[in-house]
Amino acid sequence: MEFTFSPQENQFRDRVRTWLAENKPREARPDDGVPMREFDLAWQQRKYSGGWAGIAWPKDYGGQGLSLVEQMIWYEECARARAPLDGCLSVAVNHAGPTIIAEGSEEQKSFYLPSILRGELVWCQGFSEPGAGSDLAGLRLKATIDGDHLVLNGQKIWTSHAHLATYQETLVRTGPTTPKHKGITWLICDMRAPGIRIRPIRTMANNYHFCEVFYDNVRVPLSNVVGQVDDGWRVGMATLSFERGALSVGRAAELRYILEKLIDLARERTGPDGRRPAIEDDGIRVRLATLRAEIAALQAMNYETLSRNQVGSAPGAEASMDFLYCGDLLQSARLLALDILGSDALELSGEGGEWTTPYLNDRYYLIAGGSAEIRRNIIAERVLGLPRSS
Amino acid sequence: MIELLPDADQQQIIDSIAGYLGDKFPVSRLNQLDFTGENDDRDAWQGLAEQGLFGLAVAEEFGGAGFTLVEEMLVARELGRFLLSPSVLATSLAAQVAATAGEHALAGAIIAGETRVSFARLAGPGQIGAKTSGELHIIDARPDDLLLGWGDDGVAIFARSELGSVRSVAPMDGSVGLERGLADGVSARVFIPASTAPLAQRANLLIAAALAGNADATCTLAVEYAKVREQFGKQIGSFQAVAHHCSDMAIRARSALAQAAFSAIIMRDGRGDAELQVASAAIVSADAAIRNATIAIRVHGGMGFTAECDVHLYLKRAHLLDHLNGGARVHQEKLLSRPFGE
Repeated sequence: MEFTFSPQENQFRDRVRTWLAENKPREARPDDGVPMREFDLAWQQRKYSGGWAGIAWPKDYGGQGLSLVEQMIWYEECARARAPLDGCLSVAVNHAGPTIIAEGSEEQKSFYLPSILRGELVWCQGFSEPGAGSDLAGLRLKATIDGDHLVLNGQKIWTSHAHLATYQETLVRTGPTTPKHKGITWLICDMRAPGIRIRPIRTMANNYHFCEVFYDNVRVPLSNVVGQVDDGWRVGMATLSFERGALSVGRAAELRYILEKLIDLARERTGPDGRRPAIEDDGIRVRLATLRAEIAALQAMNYETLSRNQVGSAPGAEASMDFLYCGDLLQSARLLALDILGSDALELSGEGGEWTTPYLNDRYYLIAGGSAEIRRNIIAERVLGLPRSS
Repeated sequence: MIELLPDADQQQIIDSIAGYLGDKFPVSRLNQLDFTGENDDRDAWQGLAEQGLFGLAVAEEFGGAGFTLVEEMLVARELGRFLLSPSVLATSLAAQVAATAGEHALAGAIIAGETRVSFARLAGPGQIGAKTSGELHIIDARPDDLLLGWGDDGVAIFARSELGSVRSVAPMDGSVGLERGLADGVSARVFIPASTAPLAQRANLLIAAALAGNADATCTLAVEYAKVREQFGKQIGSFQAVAHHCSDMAIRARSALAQAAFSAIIMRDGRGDAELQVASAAIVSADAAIRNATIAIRVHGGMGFTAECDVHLYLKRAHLLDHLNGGARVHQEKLLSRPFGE
């Protein structure tokens, strides 16, 4: 059992650190709308020019083809430099792109991949529907073949950044009579196509993170199907996760910096007794220290997952355990911030907002992409071998 | 190189020790009403010595096997899983202490299983060090045992026979013996100052590893029971109320195991953040062990509340080990004493 970095890896870390210090965005990231999109695209473009785009993508497709450890170093250094992650480009870079690399045709690869890496446009993910959330395979967005097109009628919901996106990876129902996991098709939908109507939804954090999308006879060329018609469930689920746990290490590092900031905050602010600094309050001390211990453990879990994934076996359900643990810690940290701020937390303006807005916003983490409860089902069935839940 | 999984040799150590413990020390042994501890079983102690347990991480020149803290941590997990007497850990720690002091004869006797060592902890004000004073809890000791304890100054080995008014008390963890005794300036047989070697930290880490094994064991007990127990015509593990408890137990066990492993690597390699990593391991593993046992008792329902079901043994042992490690509060203060390094 080892935890060491080679001289090459240390040199790599220095190179990343230097580049980030010189190139990370100076201005704060806008938290909504077109300004946020422009910020994220500009950051992707800067990474592209610097030779850092697609750090987890294979070299053959314009990525950097970095080893897992190098990817991990990249994410750790981003957290250290407080450089932003992919933001609203996350679907493009971490999901749609990798899916096209794994399952797409040569034409699809050469048409769609370069614009993702160069930071030219945003992708969104059309998976959830009003009647298909946790039960994703129950999706019903109807797609019928008409000549060399599919015609889409129906609705998606909770589609992050749909109003800012050019393309959507969309799961549609092509086989209405087949068993529900069959009869699903994975396709690329141009969000500018006639018949698409997008209604942004205001979140509890006062932003427009996600949307409803309505499809009224939207025509999508059959050449936009990735994989085969009716084989979309496999395509969607088999998406290669190139980063294989490296990103989680970065998230843990980010959490560590949030906590360090929180400790500083607790030193500066007056505590609940109105006299001593918050850090001297026993309740707050215990929570800060416990979080520190748990964040250390999260990091160790991430390293363990990375060790597993390095040996080439398919990423396992351990990642779901790390994700849940991380989500719980994030929410504990956010709540603790509010308790340190006291009544200032009631203001969204001023210093309080810096903590109150993420407190509200970060709860999406335990819902999006599979709720905490669905992830617990997955752990129970695939890691522990318990019977399917009823 | 990032490798938190055991290599082939390390896996062999785990398999061999787990096989031996499962064979000779099944947890069911503790459910016999007349069980009096590994202590009174000379053969058992000798067998553990023959497995090389007490000198695993002691340098070969002192008669040890020359492995590192990492292998010792892997073994400590298994000791926790099979609820071996804490004196097994105390004895292997004492072998390390004796070797660090250059005490060849003592190290040799401990490694050979001839000299037993048990843990002692302050049960009130006082101090353990070059001179030990105060009322002590003595855990699972025989009359002629040496005792191992630590305070702020360092780790001490001293003779149980030098304590006054030693008396048995009724232990919460009924599978070990518990005594109180009075030390009035007892001189250490061996004393290693904290500045010479972080042996108290080593004890904290190995106890944390045993707690991680404990947490993992109760998770397994609950999961296996949830697969066979049927109610409403199906296995109770198919109900999310139970399944989600099991998932949470698995996450906690995983966090404890991973942090114990990572801390062992960091401490073996002498990295600057070892103290904070070990403090984290102590907190996370005690929490995982106590909470997992609590939930595992509930998953077992009425059975879980009986003395026949093994889970209560783990709960009680978890509290004992947590106490031995000083309790969460001590480690929390360490964690806030300085920033986590790079």
